[in-house]
Amino acid sequence: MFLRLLKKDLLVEFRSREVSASMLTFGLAVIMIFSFSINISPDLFRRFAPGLYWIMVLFIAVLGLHRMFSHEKEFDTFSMIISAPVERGLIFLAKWVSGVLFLTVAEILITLPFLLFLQVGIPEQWVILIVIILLGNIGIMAIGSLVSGLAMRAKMSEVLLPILLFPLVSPQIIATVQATTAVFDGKPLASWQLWLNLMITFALVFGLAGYLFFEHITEE
Amino acid sequence: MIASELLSVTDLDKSFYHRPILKDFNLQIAGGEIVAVMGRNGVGKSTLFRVLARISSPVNGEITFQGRSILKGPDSNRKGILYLGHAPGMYPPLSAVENLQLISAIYTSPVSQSEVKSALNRVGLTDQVNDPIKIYSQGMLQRLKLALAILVDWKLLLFDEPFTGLDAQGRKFTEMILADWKQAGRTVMLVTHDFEWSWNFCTRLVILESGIVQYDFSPSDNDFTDAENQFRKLIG
Repeated sequence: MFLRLLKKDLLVEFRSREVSASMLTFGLAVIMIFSFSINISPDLFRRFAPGLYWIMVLFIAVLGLHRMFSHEKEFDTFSMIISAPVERGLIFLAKWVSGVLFLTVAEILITLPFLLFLQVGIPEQWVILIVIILLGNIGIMAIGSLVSGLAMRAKMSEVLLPILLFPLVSPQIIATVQATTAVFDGKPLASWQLWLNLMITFALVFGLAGYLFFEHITEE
Repeated sequence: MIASELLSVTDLDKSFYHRPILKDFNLQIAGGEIVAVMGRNGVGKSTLFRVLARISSPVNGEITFQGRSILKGPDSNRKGILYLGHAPGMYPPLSAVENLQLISAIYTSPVSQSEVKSALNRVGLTDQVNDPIKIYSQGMLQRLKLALAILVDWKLLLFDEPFTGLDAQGRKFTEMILADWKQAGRTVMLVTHDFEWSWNFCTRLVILESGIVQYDFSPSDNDFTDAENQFRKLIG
């Protein structure tokens, strides 16, 4: 059943391309704005780059989450899906996994322009950077899918989503920025493992919370 | 418990913003009944359907379907209930065929493209079946919901206002399909405002008022004029 729900989310996006198009356009626009508005030396910018990158990713994730759940809301399709004899935790898992996929695809296309246009350069430990980005995406989308399910039925869901999401996701973002900074500085894993553990813990806790409580938060 | 009881609603309470909609609501539905749920606007007909489909949660009460609790038990206890609400309940960017295949697979089991096309033919939806449904008219979306009900293997159909937005031909198709289901002994609950049609077609008319079942008519046991007068008096 999980695969059917995931297929449904992927097919809806494949047909509309609204989630990926909005994420990608927004990401590239932010990179343009950063490159023209921040007039400091590349060395100095490099110190701010991880923070700016993850703020950009967070905004992109909010856009994507809003579009993902708008499809469910438009024709009240969500009511049809949750009234089906399907474990509602699986609906959350499908949303979480599809959200991670959409965010990762958008990042594949915007991370390289971010590193090159803003003269940040590609770090030596680029494989570890990819792992951190993936873990960051998993954590952001776990919290985001849970909060989107909660905010979806509200009239001003587009406003409510960031208001609820940003405070909850802050520890995850702080940990991800710290881990990304450590990778850019070439520090050994032992010196930033705490942040890595925090990222994994957040992803697991919110993933489990979403799976267990999605049933209760989605009912009217 | 009534003979071959399919659905039982006991002491159900449901409020919106502290305004009670259903109060100590009780209703038993037997297998094979075609039940029209009627009443004034805002009396709680759609809310009742949404609670039965577990889209909306009640404050108190118990609902059993085929003897199993659908409020306290696992999600699989709802297997066999199909809810068709006011909205299409399908994905605007997808085509009619894709929507029907995806939702049927989530509800029961996957269906082939030929089965989907045959269901669409039966509801008179033959054009634009591969176009996104966001371009469909309200009547076409209504027919699409009916096609879903043909494809999904349900035991209880909750159909909220089945004739809304339909033209004469669409209404005829819907009535024919409902008649087939009645003939086959299937159980349907529908919200409608058409008293005369309900009297002639349904096996039972349940009229809601003040959060409870005010009248429960069986056309075979009651006089049409008396029942209609009581209904008109109630809805004003």
